[in-house]
Amino acid sequence: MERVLRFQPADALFREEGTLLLYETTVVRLSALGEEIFHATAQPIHLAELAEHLAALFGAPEGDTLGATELAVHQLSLQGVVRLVE
Amino acid sequence: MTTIEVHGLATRCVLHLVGRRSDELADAVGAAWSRCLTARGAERDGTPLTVALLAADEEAPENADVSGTDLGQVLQSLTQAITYANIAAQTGRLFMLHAGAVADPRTGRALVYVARGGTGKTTLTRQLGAHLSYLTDETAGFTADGVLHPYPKPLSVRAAGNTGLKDEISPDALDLRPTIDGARLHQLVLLDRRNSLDGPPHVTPLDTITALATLAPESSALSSLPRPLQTLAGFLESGRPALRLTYHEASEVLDDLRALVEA
Repeated sequence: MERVLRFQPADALFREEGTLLLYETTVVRLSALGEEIFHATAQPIHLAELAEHLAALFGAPEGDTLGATELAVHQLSLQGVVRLVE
Repeated sequence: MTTIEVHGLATRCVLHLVGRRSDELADAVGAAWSRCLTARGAERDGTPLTVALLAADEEAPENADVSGTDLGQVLQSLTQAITYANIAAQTGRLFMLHAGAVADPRTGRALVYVARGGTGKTTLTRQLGAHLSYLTDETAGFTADGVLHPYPKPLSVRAAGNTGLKDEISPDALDLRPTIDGARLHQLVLLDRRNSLDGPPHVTPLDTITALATLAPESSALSSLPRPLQTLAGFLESGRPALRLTYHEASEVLDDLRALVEA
């Protein structure tokens, strides 16, 4: 089963109003949910485990918790923040 | 062949001017880059550039970085080539923002205004530079302790006739106030010029995250510096927060901008 792992940014800035990640050529602003995913994926983590973790922190989303987590991870992967690993 | 050294952004860029019209090119480069012909302290060497202004029946040399038969086009391309060479030389050393900068000559307080190309930066620089020391209209480079290294290049002003070309005009020809050394970053402004703005211009202080999220895409080689977000956040949080200036006409905001740095 695939796990989620973050890319290491060149620099990161955490403030109450949000989080900023700097990569080689891009900068990404994260929501609170995105920041939590960033923190939780310092080491590879199974999607189901990540979904449970997020639901415990933010409450379960309407509908499918795993699907919502998958979508959030997909969006972060498009921004180059995380990737799926074996 | 004629050789000219151009100094700016703490970088020396050697230009080798070649071709049968090299004397004409040397005169034009010397005039347009009049503020960049002497060194301003310690420098790094940028990649030398070979530039050819060609006669109609002349072939461009193979090693030419910039060449052409039209003087205006060659000067415009040369400005871009020098800027790239300087940025490359300072990668990993200076913070570099796509910005204009002027400073109060009495205090050295610098105003750095960041904007995408084509959004009125040069127009603003021409007007501000009549009152404040001209530092650059293209790339504001500064050290981690906020000292700006001037890059007083020619201003790239849209040529008449909507040709897409820009005229490279010396800041001396435009009577911009003398460039100073040792200016320090005092106020960062993000320009938000809107053709359709209803109402007067307005200024919005930005939180650090919003400011840096907007600044970063207008920077060069930011990730090559050590802890760049932390350093820039330090500037903003220990000094003055960045401002977003929403406006239409440069003339409407000159006084407000001057007041940000004038003693």
